[in-house]
This record gives sequence, structure tokens and C-alpha cells, in this order.
Amino acid sequence: MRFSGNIVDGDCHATDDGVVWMSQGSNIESPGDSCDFGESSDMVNMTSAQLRLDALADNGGETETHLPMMGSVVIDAITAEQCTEVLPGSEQRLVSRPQGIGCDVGSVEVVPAP
Amino acid sequence: MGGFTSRTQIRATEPQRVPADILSRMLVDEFLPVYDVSDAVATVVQAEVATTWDALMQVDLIEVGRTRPMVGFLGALRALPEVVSHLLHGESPPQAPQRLRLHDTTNFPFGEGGGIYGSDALRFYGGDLSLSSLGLIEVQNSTISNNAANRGAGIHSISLRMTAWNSTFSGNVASDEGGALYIGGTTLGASTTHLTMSTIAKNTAPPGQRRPRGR
Repeated sequence: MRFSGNIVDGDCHATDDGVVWMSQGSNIESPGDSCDFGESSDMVNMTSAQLRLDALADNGGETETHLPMMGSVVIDAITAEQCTEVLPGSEQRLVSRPQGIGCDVGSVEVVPAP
Repeated sequence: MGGFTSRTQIRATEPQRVPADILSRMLVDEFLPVYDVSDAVATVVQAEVATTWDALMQVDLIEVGRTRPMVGFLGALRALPEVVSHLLHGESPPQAPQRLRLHDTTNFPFGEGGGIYGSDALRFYGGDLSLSSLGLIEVQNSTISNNAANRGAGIHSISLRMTAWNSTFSGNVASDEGGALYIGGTTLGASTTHLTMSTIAKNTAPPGQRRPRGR
């Protein structure tokens, strides 16, 4: 199972030894370290205070999302260059990436206050 | 009955361009970018809602496709690159499912796959659920939330290729394993599952049921 640029607020479990978790970078796991996110751009053992994900809500777009709050480690955690390689274009709400100096990890890109 | 609509939130926006590193583009992608063949079959019956729902869940979508030549032709055309690719690599092309009832793809309220249950072939694309013979689940720009199942409350995928990006899995509750995702079938499903730029949060599975991860 390959991961790129995801937020996993929870954990990963395999039911047999044949399952391989393969990070391709820029993933964030909270609160533990269970998904083999071992790339230098990955962040693990993040606390909820560091993750600062707001509740599922209407944040614009067609679907409800978890918006990272100000100060969240996910904001601009991916360099603009890396972001272009991972997933160019826009995020879940169709807001273009990046906003600010880099891309946010996860499905939502926070638009900085003007 | 009818838990699919009342328990599940699956909405999405218009499809985006598929990233080149996820699916290689082919000529057919220009003309048939997705399995978007539509066909309408209307049958008026005088029956209780529950009876009608039960009958609906037994409809075999494979059989419907067989009786609609245009649907079958376009489906086969879309599958052609995949089949040819497998043959060129000396592999056996994926076989179409023999039967695909709605009952096989959704199982409520506490079965397997609260949001999406894929036993052979599902393609979830920008809010539309369509069926293919390729053993593929695609989820993009979608939120799969507040589903309940024994396994894989968000998505239950067995021996499928699955790709999800720009999507949110939230508040899904599994009574056994896999709150957000349950990926089974290590030879194909787990090794060909890609999760990109997505948020998995607030999903739950009982701690006592979890098994250690194999390293």
C-alpha cells in the first residue's frame, strides 16, 4: 500500500506479514508510528495539538472536509516542488495548490488570510 | 432498508485530470475517460418499499449490461487497453465478474464495506459509481464519512486495485477491523493500493480486535 502526502489520524494495521506499507514521502501520522512512514519528509508521532485538524465541516466545495487550523504541522509541509511531483492541480475542494510557500498535507489546502 | 442513502455521505465534485503517475493515458482516455456509459431501465411495480428495495438489491448489473449491446460494447472498448497491456506482459487479463448485484456491492447496516464494498470491480468517480471489469476502485475529491460495517467501514476492498486521492475518510466505524479502509488480498489489492493527498481522521475500530502489524 503506497502513501503520498496523506494525513493518517489513527493507525495502520496489517492482518498478515505479506502487507507492505510503502511511504513515498510527505505523510503525517498521529498519534503514533504504525504506517512505516520512514521517509525524511514524513512526520510521525504527531500529537493532536500539533495536527490541529478541525472537525468535519462544510469548508467550501462540494464535500465536507477536515480543515487544518492555524499552526497545524500539515500546513506548507510539502515544498512546492515536491507538491508538483506528488499531485499537481487542485485539492478536494478544487482550491489550487499550493497556497503560500508550499502544499499542505492531506486533502485540503488552507488559503492564507489576506 | 435503504441505509446506503441514509447512513452514507458520498459526494464529490467533477472529475479532475487523472495524474499521469497514477494511470498512464491512452488514446481511449480521450474519448472514454471514465466508465460513463449510462442506460436507464424503468420498471413500475406495485409493491411495498421494502420488497422493492430487496428486489433492487438482487438486480444483476452484469446481466443488465449483457442485454444492452451499446453498454457492453463501450465497456469492452474501455477495457481494451488494460487487456492488451496484460497480454503484452504475458499476464492473464483480469476476468469480468460473473455476477454483480447491488447486494454484492453494498452491505448494510453491519456487514463489510459500509461506504464502498468492492468484491471485484467498482469505480467511484466524482460522485458517480460505475462498474468495470478491471478490478479497480478509484476515489477522488470525495468524502466518505459516517459509515458502519464489520470490516472496512469506509471502503472494503478485496483483491482490487485501489487509488484514492484528494479525498477524506472520516467518522467511519468498524466493529471489527478497518475503520476507514480495509484492504484484503495481498497479492493484488494491498500491493496496488495508492493513497495520495488524502485525509484519514476520526475513524474507529475496536482496539481489542486489532492485530499487530507485520513488519
